[in-house]
Amino acid sequence: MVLIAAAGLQSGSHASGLQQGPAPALVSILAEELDRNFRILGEKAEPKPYYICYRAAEIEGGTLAAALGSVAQRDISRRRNLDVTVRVGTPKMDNFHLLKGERPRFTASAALPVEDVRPAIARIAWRETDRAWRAAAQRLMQLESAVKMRTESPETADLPDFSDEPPSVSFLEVPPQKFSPDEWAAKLRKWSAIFAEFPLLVSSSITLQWQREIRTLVSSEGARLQHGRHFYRIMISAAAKGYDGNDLTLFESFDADDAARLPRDAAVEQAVRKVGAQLTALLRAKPAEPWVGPAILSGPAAGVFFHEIFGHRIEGHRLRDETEGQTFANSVGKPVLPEFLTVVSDPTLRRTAGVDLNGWYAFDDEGVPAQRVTVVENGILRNFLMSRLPVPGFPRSNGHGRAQPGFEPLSRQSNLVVESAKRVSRAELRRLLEAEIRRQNKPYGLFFERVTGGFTRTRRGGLQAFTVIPLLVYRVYADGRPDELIRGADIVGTPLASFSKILATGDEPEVFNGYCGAESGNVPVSVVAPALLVAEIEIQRQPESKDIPPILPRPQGEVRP
Amino acid sequence: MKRILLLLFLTAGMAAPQMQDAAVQAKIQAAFASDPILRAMAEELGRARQLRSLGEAVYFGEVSADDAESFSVSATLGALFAPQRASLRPVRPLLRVGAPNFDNTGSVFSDFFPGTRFDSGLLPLDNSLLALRHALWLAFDRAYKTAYGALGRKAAALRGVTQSEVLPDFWPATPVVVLETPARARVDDAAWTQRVRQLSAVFAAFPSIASSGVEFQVSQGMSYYLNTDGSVVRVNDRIAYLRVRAVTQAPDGMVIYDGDSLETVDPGRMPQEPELRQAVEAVAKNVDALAAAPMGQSYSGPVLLEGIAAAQAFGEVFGSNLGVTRRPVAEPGRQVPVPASELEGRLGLRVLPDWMDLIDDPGQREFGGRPLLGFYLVDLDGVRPQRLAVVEKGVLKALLTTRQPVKGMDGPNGRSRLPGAFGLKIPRISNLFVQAAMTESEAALKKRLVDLAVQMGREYGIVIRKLDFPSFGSIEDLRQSAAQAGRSGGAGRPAPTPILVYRVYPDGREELVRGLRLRSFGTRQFRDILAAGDRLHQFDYLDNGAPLALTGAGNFVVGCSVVSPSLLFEELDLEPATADLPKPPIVPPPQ
Repeated sequence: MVLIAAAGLQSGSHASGLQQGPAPALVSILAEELDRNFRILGEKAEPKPYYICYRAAEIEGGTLAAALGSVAQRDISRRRNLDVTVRVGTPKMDNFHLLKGERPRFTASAALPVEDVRPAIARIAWRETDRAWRAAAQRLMQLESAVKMRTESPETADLPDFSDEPPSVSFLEVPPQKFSPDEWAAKLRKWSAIFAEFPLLVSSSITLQWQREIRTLVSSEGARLQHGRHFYRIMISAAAKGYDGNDLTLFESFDADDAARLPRDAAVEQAVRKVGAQLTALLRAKPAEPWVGPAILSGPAAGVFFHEIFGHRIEGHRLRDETEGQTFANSVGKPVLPEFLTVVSDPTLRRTAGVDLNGWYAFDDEGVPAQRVTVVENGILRNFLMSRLPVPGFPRSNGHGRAQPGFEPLSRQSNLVVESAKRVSRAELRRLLEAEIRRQNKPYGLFFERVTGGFTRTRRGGLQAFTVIPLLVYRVYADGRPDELIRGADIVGTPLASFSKILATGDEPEVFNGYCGAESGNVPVSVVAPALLVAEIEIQRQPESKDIPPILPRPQGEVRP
Repeated sequence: MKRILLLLFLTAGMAAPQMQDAAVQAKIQAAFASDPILRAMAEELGRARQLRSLGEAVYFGEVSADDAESFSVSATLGALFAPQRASLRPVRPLLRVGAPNFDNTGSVFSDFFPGTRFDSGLLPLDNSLLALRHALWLAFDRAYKTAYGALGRKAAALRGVTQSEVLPDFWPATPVVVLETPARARVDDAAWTQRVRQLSAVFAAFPSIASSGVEFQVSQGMSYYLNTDGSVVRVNDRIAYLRVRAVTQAPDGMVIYDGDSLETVDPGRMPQEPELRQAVEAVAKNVDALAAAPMGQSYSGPVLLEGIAAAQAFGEVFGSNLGVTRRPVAEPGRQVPVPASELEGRLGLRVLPDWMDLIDDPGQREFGGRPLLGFYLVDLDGVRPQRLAVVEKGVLKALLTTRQPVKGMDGPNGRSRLPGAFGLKIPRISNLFVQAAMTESEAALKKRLVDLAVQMGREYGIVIRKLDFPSFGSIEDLRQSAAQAGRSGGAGRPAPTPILVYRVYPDGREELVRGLRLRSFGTRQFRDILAAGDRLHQFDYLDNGAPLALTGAGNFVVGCSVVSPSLLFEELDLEPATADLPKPPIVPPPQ
């Protein structure tokens, strides 16, 4: 479960109302073929399906990358994929039943033509339905005998495998946007040339990714949906190699759902110079030492922290999988966070304070409308993120069943919003940190300005640990000395312990936009969080590598973008 | 400016080019001045040549790159998948440390780099000299560290071992200068998109065929190669092809497939629409007919490979076996399964009947008015290939060699055609000509087949008119072929699946059958060819180095052609495919 990072600022705006119109051609073609297969399989197949769903994802977009004033990559494509879900048995127990940590996967994501030609599309859907039904029937047979030989925990023994949800019908247009790759190529060349000012970096690049996504869903329950959105991302990245073999990298990214809201040239150029300067400084920075003590996490860093140590544990499907750690299985109605924190998962939120959020959508990948969910209220756990897989105490979906095309939907995060009732100004937060440093009698505290990805092991058997990878970390002194950059730190610790140690938060929520990769593939997500003051965070030194920097001096010359 | 460039080229540590010709020098300088890719490659290769700081000096270096633009589009049943355009510049640097007698190549460690990788394997798409040099700088840095690490590990792996055969790791070769100017053919993308859509609609008339598709792809660009011997190569590299594939299930569930590919090295001269349509229709008809045909039965007896099937057989069996790639050095007890050549160690022995010769000739551009696919000027090692008499009067006289020394041969013969693993290149045929001193008419061959079959107590003889080569199967089909070959003693090397197999009865009647596999089909069977026909058949194909040249399995392809008469084999074994049959769908196909 890895996150890829970005940064931003505040305040909100929600998904607009639904529109109707005639069904788009793809919806009709798929619906007709689905109904035909459902009817005939219902008459002739054993076991017969009780539910069939066709999901098509059309992604039109591309990637442009430039380095040192030169375009390095230019990929433009448009593709459509079809995922077929077939459920046999009954909602009480079907072929998706979770058995001992297995993740059943029936879809193989078939390529669809981009033209709405009925015979071609129907034929592919027909083949995929046959394949999915065969795989479903086989697994159901295996399950029926396996289940007889095992005991199930009492909480999950009577839970159905599929919840009852009313089907939705909605066709939301996703108008194409004006976007010129060639114009942006010129900008990328110009911006990437700036990295030539930082000769100690080994490699650098500026990447622009754009995507128009249209999701179509039809089901045997009568769901008929088409919706989608745009994604735009500018990613600045650079890498250097320390004298001790440590890899040093820095990223900065900007996300928007409209090209018009991507940052202006000046903002990007400033960000490029900042990355170049900070990475150069990191090369000279002192290596981190193992340490435990108080720290401030910047808003975006706090966001990653919450996504990893908290967000994955509120994904409902984990409570049905007995190999999962299930940290919160018995915590509903109990405090799991300090009482001044409220955490909401809101996939209906499109923007907050001028920044577009990655994690909004109109309908999830099981056809359930997106819903705002209060996960934690004043520190008390109230809800999990739910797909159509019921968990103890939560029989219904709340629109969080998500999947990357090619995967089966599972409960996943969307936009995680962390609200605090104990907000202080940035200066005051800093002062509180200094006070805590003195109180704990530590030589210094830490400030995590920027972090990236991270992974969590939520399964039993593995260590219940998380590592969020810090990129920019400073030692903060309580005696007036300036902040000191250190490098090669890794945050470690155990999740439950860290939660109770949040002392206060800042008053400016910041956005972290990224992509979360977990069991149902990569899905776009965001976290909106203020800076956090934590009483105890533990770091260790990143392992050294014996790998040396490039031997020959880098080629000299003029960069002419 | 030109003088300075020449100085750079020489003083940067490269051996002075052998060519004393001032005109050639001038040509090279002009090319450097006008071609940033070439210049960047030369400058960074020159710098990399000097690397010795880890304790091992570079004694040879090379770098190759492709600058290609491609367009592809496919369709099924009259519906398009989105056309794709791509520009890609893959780059492959290689540095050798140690000495020609013993260097870092040819071991399982040769490609292994444990550190952080900063190079992407691609060159930037713009022609900025600095950006190109930066990418090459990083690529050569990794190449040097990889070479250094590999040399040490290779030496360590051999410490406790006495090698049965000690051969040097690198042969010398004469440097070559070939500088072509770009020759890009005009290709009408929109017209091809329309054509592909229409051709895919041919299958609408065959509703029982479960899945079908037509694809067109064209790639045009230049291939670059430089080495520290002084070779400078820039040649046009172009390919275009139309491919069709169809799959269905017979009533008993057996999966039936067929495909065809029409390719050309001059994208402006693809076959015309009627020929393309005919190829698509032929695949459709084959699949339909095969699905309705009866299952074949086990057969051991004479087999006539008629028409292109004979050429395909030679291409598949001899195309790869004529080249020997030495087994890579590995830790003792940890051998890497690398397919061995059946012809290794057979120089001077009979491999074909004594009335047959085999010639490999990359210098021919066409045969009988039809373009050949195997023409090329210089190989991936920068060696100029010559016409090679591979088999003379049935005796194996030469193997296809790269610059990796092989037993029985004394130098490279310019057959490095595919990039391989372990720092090596893979040898392949170019244009292979099968020559028979004794021939019979096609009709006489068929009669002889049946007579012989009857003599051996059979009711019929078998004629094969098409093999699945290059294979249009899936990876799963390939695995099943290899498994079946393994069980029948075929050393796990998959034999090509026969597609069009006919029983021929004494009364002249023919019957198409399906589902037969060749049991062990390799070079051994070619020794017992009884007779050859009097007509020559040409078969062109793209080889990508994968087993059975599995279509779509590799990014790097080379054109090959085989010209062969029909061939009567004395005895081949055919047996029905033994895999379990998947049930056909319960739901009938959509109308």
